[in-house]
Amino acid sequence: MAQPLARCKVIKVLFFRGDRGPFGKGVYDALRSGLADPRQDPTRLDCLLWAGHTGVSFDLGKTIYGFNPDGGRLRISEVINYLESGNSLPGVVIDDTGVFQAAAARTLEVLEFDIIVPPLTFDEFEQLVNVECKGSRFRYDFPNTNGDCNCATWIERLGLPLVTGRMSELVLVADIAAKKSRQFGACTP
Amino acid sequence: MNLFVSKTWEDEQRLGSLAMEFRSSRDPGKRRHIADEYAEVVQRLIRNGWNEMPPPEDQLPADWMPRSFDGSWVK
Repeated sequence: MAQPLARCKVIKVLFFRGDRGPFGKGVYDALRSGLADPRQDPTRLDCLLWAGHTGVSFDLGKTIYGFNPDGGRLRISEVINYLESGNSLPGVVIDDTGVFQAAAARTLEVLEFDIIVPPLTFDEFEQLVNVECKGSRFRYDFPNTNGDCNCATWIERLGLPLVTGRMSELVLVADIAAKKSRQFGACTP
Repeated sequence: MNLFVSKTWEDEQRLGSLAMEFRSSRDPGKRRHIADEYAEVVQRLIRNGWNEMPPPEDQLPADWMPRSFDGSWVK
């Protein structure tokens, strides 16, 4: 007699695009001013509310973990300029629940979808994230540099599938085929 | 091909692509060429009524951004 299947568990992926209007312009101004005057530097939260963010949750959205750059002693404005220049920084995984709550409070649309998996897969992925929280093995970068990933691709690097597999869905991913190459990791072309 | 994609959307995607190309090159000449095209795309976006501040991953570092990029188009 076949064993009954275990109950599925849910890994939730959450993301928001960011406020690209006057708020975003204000953060941009603060970043540029902050390079010359540390007092003008924006907060990490404001940068994320402008840029957007992605996170993952194991308790249906109560706690949301996100991958971020660890700038060490660098100011926020210096971190952003460093990343824009094509450099990478050590990655750090943080409880970013507050970021998503702030995004919702600003009426930014926080999108989410569930990855439904067997308990063993759930436990393995949760353990991977727990280990990442203690010290990430990935370097944070903006797309197409010698780092490993950003907040969105970190989830993929850990092995969580994001697309359903329907070809129609893949084709609709904006510019996916137009960008003919994308680098992840340090190597020489 | 999606016939209803706007020119603004295409140019916004182009900014992101140029930023990616910039980051993957360390050649100053190539970076200059990319920055020049970036400036042209920004000008076109502004002329076409652009109203967004692109995220940092779609921007060049401060010293390479065009002078016209001051965010004044964001209302």
